[in-house]
Amino acid sequence: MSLYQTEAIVLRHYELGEADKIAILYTKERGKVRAVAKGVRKTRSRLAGAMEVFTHNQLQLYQGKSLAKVNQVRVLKSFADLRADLWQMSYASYLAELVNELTVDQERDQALFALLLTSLNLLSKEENLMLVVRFFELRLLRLLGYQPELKCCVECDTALEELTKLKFSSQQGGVICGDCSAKDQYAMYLSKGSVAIMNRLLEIDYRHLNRLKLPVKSRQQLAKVIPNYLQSILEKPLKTLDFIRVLNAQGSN
Amino acid sequence: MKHYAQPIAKLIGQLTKLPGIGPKTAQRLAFYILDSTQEEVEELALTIKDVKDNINYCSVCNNFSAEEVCSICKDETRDTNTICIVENSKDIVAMERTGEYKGVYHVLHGSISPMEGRGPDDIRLNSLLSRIKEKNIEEVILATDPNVEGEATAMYIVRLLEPFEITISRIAHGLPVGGDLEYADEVTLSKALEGRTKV
Repeated sequence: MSLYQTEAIVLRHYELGEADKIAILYTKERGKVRAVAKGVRKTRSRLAGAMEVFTHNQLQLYQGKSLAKVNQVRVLKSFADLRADLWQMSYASYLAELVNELTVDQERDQALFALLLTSLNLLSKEENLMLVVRFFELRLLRLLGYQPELKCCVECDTALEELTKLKFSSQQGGVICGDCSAKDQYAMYLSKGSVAIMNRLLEIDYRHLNRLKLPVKSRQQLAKVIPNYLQSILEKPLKTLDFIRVLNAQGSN
Repeated sequence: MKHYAQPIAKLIGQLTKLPGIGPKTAQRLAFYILDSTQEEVEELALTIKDVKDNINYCSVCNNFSAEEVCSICKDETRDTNTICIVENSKDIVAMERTGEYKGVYHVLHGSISPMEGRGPDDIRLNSLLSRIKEKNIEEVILATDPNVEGEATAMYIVRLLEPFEITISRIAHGLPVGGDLEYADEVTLSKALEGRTKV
């Protein structure tokens, strides 16, 4: 139990009682923290604006037994533009949901914090949104120790160059050759080009992300394969993905 | 709960389900009900049942109503060419208290939320669309909450209504009356600056 200062990004929040909220924050110093923000649902609240999702804050928190309490807050970047476009908002929500679902409370990971902040920045600049999302997913997987095997078949170790029919196995966490793919009936098609893009995304400096081209076919493949892998790690569906699917289905882009 | 007679324990259990009611408050309410007269208790019970039995959605605006069409939609003095879209019926009460708004409403009964996986199909948009197609609507005012869900809902409706030739407006975000500029948060203040009006 102590008072401390930290930078944090608001991942989501839910209502508590009449006028309060519990915010799930990803802090730079202590990882994921749940904090009570008092009175934020009242119109006069000074905290309210800062507790909106995606906001990057400098906070003073008081850590209680399980929940923290938000004492003071200074907005560093509100990311208001991410909330002003349905697609940007949906993808940013997806990043926030991933971080929230894949991390545990009070486990510090400054690299993850930096990745989230960078990716939100890229999304707000309206770069190729899909590319930013794929970049985030792969880097997140690597940080959390789930980096998929992309150099050789996960089953028989045959190098990628020698493989002809490629698939991706979420169950095994990597590319799988045509022969071995019989073992995982849910393995999905993945072209060599898509694998190359995945490898590039794992290496690339985020400042050069816009140099990368994402052909339509790879875009479609990766939009299936990577989220599927993430959901198989989580062992549950991601809510924002359902939402994005509905938006796509209505073709309102 | 073993210290209570079974019916009391059951009542306390039911009351605890209500929002903002903890076990202690539930206990106090339960004992208050026990102390009340037979008539009072019956009236309370019947009132609760009456609300559930007789309140339906207004066939025009989806507001809660005891009749087929709610009192606001029935009111002929109101401007039926302007629709104010709100998230729930409580918001209508808030808007009506201002006494400024003379148009009619449309209640969505919810909001779009990517985080909760609540999509456009989960709110009442179809009846809004048919209203706009059938009637001569001039303006739609988006009065959803100024938070992420409310903004998402507003943006979605803007997109939905684009093909129609109507004015779509969003209620302003800004400083509360009687507030203090120095204590305003940055986001609100920048929104207030953005939406400044000429005097």
